[in-house]
Amino acid sequence: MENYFYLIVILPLAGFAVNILFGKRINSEKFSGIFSSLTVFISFIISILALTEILNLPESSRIIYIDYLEWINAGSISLSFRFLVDPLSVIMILIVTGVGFLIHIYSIGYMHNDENYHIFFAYMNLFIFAMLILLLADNFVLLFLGWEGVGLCSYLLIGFWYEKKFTGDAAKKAFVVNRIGDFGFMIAMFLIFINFNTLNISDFNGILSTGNFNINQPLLITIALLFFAGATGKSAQIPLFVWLPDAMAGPTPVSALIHAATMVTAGVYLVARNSILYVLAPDATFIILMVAVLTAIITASIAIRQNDIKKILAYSTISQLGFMFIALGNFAFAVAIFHLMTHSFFKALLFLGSGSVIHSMNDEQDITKMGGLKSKMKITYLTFIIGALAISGIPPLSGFFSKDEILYKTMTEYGSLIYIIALLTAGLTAFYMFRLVALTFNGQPRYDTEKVHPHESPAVITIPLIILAALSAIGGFIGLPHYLGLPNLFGNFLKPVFEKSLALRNSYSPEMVHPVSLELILVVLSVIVAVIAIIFAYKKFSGKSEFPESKGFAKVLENKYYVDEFYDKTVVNPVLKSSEVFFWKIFDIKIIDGFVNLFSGTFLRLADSWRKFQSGVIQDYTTATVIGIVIVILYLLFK
Amino acid sequence: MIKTIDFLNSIPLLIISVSAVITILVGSFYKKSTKYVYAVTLIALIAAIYYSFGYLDKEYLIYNNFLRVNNITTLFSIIALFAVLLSTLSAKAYIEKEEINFIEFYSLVLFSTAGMLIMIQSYNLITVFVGLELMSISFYILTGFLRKRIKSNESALKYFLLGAFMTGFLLFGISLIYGITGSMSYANIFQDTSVFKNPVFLIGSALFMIGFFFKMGLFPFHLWVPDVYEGAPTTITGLMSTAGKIAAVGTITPFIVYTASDNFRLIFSIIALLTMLIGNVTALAQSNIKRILAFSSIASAGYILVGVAAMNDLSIKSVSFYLLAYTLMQLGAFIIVSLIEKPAEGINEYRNVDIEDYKGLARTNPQLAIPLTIFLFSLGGIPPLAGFWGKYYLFYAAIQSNLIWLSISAILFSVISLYYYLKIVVYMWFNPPANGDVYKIDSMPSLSILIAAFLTFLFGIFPQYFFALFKTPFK
Amino acid sequence: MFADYGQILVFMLFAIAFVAIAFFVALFLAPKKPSYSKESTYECGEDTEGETWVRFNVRYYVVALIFIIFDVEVVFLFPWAVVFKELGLFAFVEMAVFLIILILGFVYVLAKGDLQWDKPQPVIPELKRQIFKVDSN
Repeated sequence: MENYFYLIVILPLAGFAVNILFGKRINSEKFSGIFSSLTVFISFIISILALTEILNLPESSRIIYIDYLEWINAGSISLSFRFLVDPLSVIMILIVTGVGFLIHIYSIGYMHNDENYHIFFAYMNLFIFAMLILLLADNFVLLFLGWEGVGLCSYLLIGFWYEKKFTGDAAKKAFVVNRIGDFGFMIAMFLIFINFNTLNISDFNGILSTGNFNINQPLLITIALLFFAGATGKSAQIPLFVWLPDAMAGPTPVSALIHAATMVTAGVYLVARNSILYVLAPDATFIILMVAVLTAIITASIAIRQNDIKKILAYSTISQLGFMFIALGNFAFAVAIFHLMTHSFFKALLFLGSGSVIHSMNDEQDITKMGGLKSKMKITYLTFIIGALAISGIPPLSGFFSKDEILYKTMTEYGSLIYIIALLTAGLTAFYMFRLVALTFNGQPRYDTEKVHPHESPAVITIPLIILAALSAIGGFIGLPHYLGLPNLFGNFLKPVFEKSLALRNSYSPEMVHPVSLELILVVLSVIVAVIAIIFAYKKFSGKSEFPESKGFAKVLENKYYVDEFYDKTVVNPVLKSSEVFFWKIFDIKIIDGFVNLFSGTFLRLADSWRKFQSGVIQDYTTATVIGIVIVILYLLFK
Repeated sequence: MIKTIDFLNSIPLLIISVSAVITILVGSFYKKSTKYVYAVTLIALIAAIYYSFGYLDKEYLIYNNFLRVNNITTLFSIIALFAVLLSTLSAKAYIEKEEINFIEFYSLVLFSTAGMLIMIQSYNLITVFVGLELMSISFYILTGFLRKRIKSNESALKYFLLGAFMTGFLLFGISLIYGITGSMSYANIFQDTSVFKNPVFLIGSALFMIGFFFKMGLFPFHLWVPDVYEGAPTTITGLMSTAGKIAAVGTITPFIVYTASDNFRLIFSIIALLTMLIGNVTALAQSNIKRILAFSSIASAGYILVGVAAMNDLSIKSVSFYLLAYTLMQLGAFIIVSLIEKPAEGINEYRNVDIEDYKGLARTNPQLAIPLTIFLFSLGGIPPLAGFWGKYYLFYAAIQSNLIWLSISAILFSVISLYYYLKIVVYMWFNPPANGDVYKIDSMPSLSILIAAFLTFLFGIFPQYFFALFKTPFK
Repeated sequence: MFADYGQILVFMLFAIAFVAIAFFVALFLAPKKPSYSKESTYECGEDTEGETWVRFNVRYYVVALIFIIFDVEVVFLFPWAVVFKELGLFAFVEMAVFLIILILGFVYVLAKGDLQWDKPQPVIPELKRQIFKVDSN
């Protein structure tokens, strides 16, 4: 019955195939854009069907395995194309196809008149395909296939405008940094295979939940950390976050789809999918928490001194991903996914809004050269404000519910210190977002009004904005906090997925009961902080027109704590130097090439001399044959 | 006494033999019926494959224990029939181009196919011999089918002389086996296991197998291969190098399975090693694509013997999988070579078969260059193509039998082989076109290329599909 | 087991001895009176003409091949005919199938016109390029 689920994955692939194979021949923007949007839309519809099928099942057995094809069966490795459809993956595919569809529509307008229009849509579809494979896979190899697939698409799309050098560099940086994380992922897979003799995710989780494992077993900690290493690459956490700001060199829809809403959340999904592993290795989870808190505060602080509109959003994305990992670090898996969802709404909205601004400003990205766009782009402005309020955590917008739940969990799990850092980050978020809003939309124009004439974008661009704004506004209501006394639909839906891991967590660290008043106090506190930050930013930047050179710590922030420079000094340059001096000039040329050339030269000489055996004379052939037979017989007689 | 049921249990063989006879008769009376004969040949082959699938899970001895139908023989028959089908599909365009569009071509192909089926299914040394002769004689004639071309005549004569020479050894081997066991039937030969230690029996079976090693092109019985493959009409070369090899391997399978003894393991391993060495290294110095493929076919025979030398449960599976993969890629490559070849126009050599002529093919004829690249990559054993898994399973089987040195050298030799496969690929993709020729491709050859390329991918991604055909455990 | 081969060995020795003895006896007993006609090549009693190494018309071989096939067929038919009564219908059918297959071959040869001696215009392989270079001067 559920066999039609494969269509979810196949349709975007078909869109990719048609666009890449025939796109040039058809040569119609309309066809390429609408066709590939349509494939994603139908995928979305089928995902909704999948949701209803899941909902029709009794709560305890809301999980569907679908075996499609046997894939590899070699020795003790047995892999198949097996889908795992449970509430977690259903929510994720809904986000990916839903937001993906809106961004596809948006791209129809945004990429208008691009030379490689069909290729852009082909890559976007390929990305959706790979992402869905990642989310639906029930074995680590298939998941890894999707994981690498989205990495590839990210690379291709960042470097989409490859004529500019810096886009190519950014694409390479993203790819290489991701590979470092992938290395951890692969080692984790090998370890799982060696120790558990399976690569199936559900089998692996099943083995872990048998209860035969001690808490903090070294093996489990290692695997958990290696997976997290992969996640730091894909989800841009310290120390591998440096690629994401550069990735903004790609077209804005790409930044929205891949580098905000979907792909970068793959790391969060990976950790949530293996929740039992992290519950069994709380030490590793604590490391996640530490990394996440550091990432969130550091990148949020960088964001307040950036002037590139997309870079601000990029740092904000990293910071928000940090929030999701904070939730994971507190074993609040469902909350992490909830924040993932709301974040994908408002961050996609913000990115698309910034794209609309950039578009109307003739590709200007520096917010110090904008200002006063409020009146000229009404829809963009209003939707952008909604997004900014949502990310700042102003009730009753979606970001409020998810962020506050994270803050609350932080308080109850690890106490006030981490809570205060998280709260500070939330305040910084509100501050830099409204600094952005104020500089872009308020005040007087700081651009050349003779040359640039900002205008509202066409409907294909504004309609996705409006839909996303609506989602950002009301999306939070499906995950209401319990103090309101209303059911938390989202949490209840995800409950069966994390039931086992949470029970396990309770068995060694029972959940404490906290008074409702604590939660209410925290909520009020965070709202107050956000409001103060917003008002402060608005006041400070609304009328600002002078941008003096920053000094002291501000300069450090402007230069992103010199992280890139640090990596250049400690990692990149030594590697480059040693490559040039030793690995290339000596090791590669002298040793490897020398060996290869010696080897191939020997065989080529042999070949030249052996071809003479092929004399073409039949007497020689019979002689050789007889000698061969005689040797065989002699061997058999005298062995 | 032949029972009626025997006919029902050998439908594919009957279809092939009867249509062979009918086509040759019809053709001799109605000279213009080649088109219909072509259709009949294809239908007969497809029908034979279709019926063969019905025997996959059966186990019969038929025609007074002269033939045997079981999972393995049926599987080999299917692969052989499939090879014949693919090459016949593409043959029409070629023989029309070379102006040898005679009905006897199809009849001879069918006769040779009947010979292969008899060989594969034989349960008696006499039937082995009859089948072998039926196949070989058809091949001798087909090799010389380009009557007006000296090269073709020369290679036919060479093939015939050497083939007849080797048949002598084969018959001597059969007579030795008969002398020791007193029977021609496998049922009696393999009954008494004590006889396997007898040196006369060992020599007999060694000579018997050498007869087929000759057909497979194993060192030092491979010397005819490059000359004959180069001289034969290109589609026939494809047929001989695939279907002929499948039949030869299928015939010696029972010997390997039943007498699986350590007596032969070392000698098989050495022959495999030397074959891979000679095949792969000599191919490096070749410039004629038919000769390159001929040496690659020798090397492939070496890989197959690696799996054979393993002599364990995996052997049959891995060997048959490799044969299938090999059929797809080798035959696909030969079909493309046959399409690129130019008609003689009074010249005695084959034209346009030098790798120099393949320069820039990707630019002038991408529809030929892309599949050829796929086939060459597959031959070189690059995943995710069928050739990769073929080699993988063969070498895995060898490792299971502790022939680690053999598998390692096999892997090294297949690395060497990449040189000459990739050389063609480089010529096609990275060189300026040698000439602006755009080759005409009929629908039938392109169909067979498509099938081969598709299956190369399919079995490369899902090797499991093939192993599902093994219904019953062997032995 | 090998004792059986011993019998064959004895048989072979006998055969060799028989021929050798016959030769030797002839050497001693036969009178030696050579003459021209005795020394000349035997060719059905006619005088020899031309070289021995002439190329025979290929049709001789075709006829010879067909002759051999039917010759062998007779070898099969003799023993069959002797015990035909005991074997009954099955043997008859089997022999009929055997004969039909042979006859089909014969029909093919006939239809191709290979038995017509004065075949009009055989296609002679053309050699446009010389295999061996012949120096013209």
